[in-house]
Amino acid sequence: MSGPGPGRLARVSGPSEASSARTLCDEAFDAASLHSLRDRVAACVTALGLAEDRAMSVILVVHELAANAVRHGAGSGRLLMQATTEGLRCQVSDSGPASGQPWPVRQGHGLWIVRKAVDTVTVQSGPGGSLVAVVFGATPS
Amino acid sequence: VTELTVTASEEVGPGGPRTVVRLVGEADLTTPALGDVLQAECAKRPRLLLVDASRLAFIDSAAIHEIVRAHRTLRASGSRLALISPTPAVARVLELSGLDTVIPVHASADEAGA
Repeated sequence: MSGPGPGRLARVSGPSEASSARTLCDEAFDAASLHSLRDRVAACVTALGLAEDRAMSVILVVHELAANAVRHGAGSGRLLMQATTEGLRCQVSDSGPASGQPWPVRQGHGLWIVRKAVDTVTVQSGPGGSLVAVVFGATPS
Repeated sequence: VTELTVTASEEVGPGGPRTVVRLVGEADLTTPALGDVLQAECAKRPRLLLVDASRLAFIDSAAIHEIVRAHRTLRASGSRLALISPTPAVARVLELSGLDTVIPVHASADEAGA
């Protein structure tokens, strides 16, 4: 069986593979800039013409992923938002906590909300940092 | 920087005294004032604590956790907590988090205070 590897995670194309991906936002963040990150995401989803409920879901999900990186990860990270053939792809990465322990990316209320709001969640986490990618498909949910 | 103003006031409603905690701005993990004020007000054992979200533009899971914590504290002592007139953005987060099935949401303070 040629699965995606350990962790039974759904496979999502990375930036290098998704040649048709159009970058909407590529921004660094930390605790002090979570507010402006939400504003930036709001501007992107407004430009895409998403319905209000859908737009709020994207803003919340990106915030929760960034907040996890701030609270449990390196304290700062990077958001990459792309329009792909699968839908709206949001990727949050950080270089990992100072302790060297991977942050508990699967725990917490925030991640539960994330899983409820998106179509696909991909998590890569290790001592070198974490990368979480979510995809909002074309069909509103 | 996320800015949140939290004010607490004691009022008398149609059903008796009540404490209203008003949130203006955005509530997230970087705004500890929410949890601080809620815990301080819970310690005074109000009959009814209303969280006025009519001017709250955003709420995240960390802030929701603080409200759930206050709700549990009050319920354990026979008191109540309710949310008042959340904005559409906040209502969406309440729906996604399932909080609207745990904590009563009312259109106005008088509706909640009966």
